[in-house]
Amino acid sequence: MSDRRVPLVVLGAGPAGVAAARAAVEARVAVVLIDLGARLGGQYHRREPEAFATSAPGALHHGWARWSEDVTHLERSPRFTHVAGAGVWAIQHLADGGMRIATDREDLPSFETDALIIATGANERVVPFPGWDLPGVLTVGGAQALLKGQGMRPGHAVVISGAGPLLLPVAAALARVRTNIVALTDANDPRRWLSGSPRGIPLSKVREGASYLATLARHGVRLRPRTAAIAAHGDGRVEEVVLARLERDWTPIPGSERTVTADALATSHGFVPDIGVAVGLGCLLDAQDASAPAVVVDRSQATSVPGVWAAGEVTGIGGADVAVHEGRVAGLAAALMLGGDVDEDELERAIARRRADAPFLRTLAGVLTVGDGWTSWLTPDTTVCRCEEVTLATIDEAIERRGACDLRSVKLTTRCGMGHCQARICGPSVAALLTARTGQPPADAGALDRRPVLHPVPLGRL
Amino acid sequence: MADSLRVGDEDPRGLTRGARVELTFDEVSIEAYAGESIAAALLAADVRAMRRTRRHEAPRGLFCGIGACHDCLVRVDGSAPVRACLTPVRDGMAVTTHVLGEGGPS
Repeated sequence: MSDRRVPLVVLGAGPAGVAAARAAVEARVAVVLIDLGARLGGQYHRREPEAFATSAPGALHHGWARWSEDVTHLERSPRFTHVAGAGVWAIQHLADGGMRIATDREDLPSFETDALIIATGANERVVPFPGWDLPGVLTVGGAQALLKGQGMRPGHAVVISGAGPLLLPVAAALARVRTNIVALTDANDPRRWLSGSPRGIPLSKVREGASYLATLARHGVRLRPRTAAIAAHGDGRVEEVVLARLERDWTPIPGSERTVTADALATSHGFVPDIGVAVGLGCLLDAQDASAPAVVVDRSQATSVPGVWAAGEVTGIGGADVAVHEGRVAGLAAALMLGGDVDEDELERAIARRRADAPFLRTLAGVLTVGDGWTSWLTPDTTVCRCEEVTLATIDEAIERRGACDLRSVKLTTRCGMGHCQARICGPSVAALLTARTGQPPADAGALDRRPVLHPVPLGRL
Repeated sequence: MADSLRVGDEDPRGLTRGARVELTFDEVSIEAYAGESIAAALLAADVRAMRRTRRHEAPRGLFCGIGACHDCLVRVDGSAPVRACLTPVRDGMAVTTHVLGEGGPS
């Protein structure tokens, strides 16, 4: 099939990608937006399937009005093309400065483009623990996808446990649809930011958090701070979850363990920017946190690679509001480069709005932490790499006895990160284990995100 | 069914599901609704394990729910494995447990 040349491709249909696409089409630039999902929304605004009907589609969504407005404008534009249900498996630079993008949609050609906006969002970070590979353990985002995307609860008796900003909204939504929530625990103490005490958290965020807590309280669900699910047990599926109180650094307090009966455990401990595409194109990374490298961008969201911009969580975790601000800047900046109808004052105003998010982002980075003590939840036979079934003992042996001192050498020695998910799940844990064992972060942060083939595809597509 | 994992009138969106469809999982009949993913249909039918791992034949099921982890691989009508969380149900489809090593990933 011959390639199709387009001026601008946006990867990702979440808040950042849609804001970027809208800004570009309003500047009279044609945009192709490619996304794995069937409908616009990404994970944050994941919709029910087209075959379902709803009378109030926004009822489980935060910020629905603004989102709907973006989508309405975009879908009305003759310059907008939405390529849905398409997994991007390869991007390469072309000799003429453009890029070629291959998807797993067999009915579509590859796309060639002059400019690219990466708005691929983030993956969840899940800290491993004994039993986290049992069926019935799923991510908090997975539970959210089931509810928003399918109208399903994850289980009949559900433990929600982890850390990060996703816990409360997902727990509150599950409580609203009368899920039996056995326990809700946060390894950190969210009261630290819910009280509004750290500087830089906007009042709207504090109110949003408080409304989730109020919903939970109405349904009789109490949030237990500094508590975590540190093990799951069961015969072929989750039957019991072990909860423990934690020290501030997430080390379990001896004797505080208690076991609850549950058939589902929703767990995750934060987000990791989904940088695979950016790494493949050679974009510069900020690896200050070796477990969560982010794409470096300038004030107009341009990456270090000409013709490539990045917006949203892929540039660092900031939430949907910041993602929209960044998406608008990226869309306007790319449109300007492509000769679109962009008022430079408008671009400067968009940049100023994004810059105003800086204090919030600094505070957020201080709040969304993963305590080093999680490594003591694991036993030597705990699976770390789910795909290749690599245990903690195997990784420790590679580091301590076989001289593996960076991500690449751990991968080559143990097969960690060589399976289906290509380190999307275990990568952050391997980086954190290397840091803990060697006393310094791996020098090759992002190495496990280098994927010549971004997703497994049938051989016939190559 | 009061015990169902499918959310009913409690869904504030006023959700109405698609048409009823029937599929099989490892030859057992399962009822589902058009638009549902295979993973959701299996979960509603109380199936948690969707594949077995290559080394230890350990059961795995829905984990990330968004197509990243590939732990929910199943076979459909004898196909190469597909992600159950991304693949919609179809009336009459025959879904089977995926054992890694029997054919490559999809």
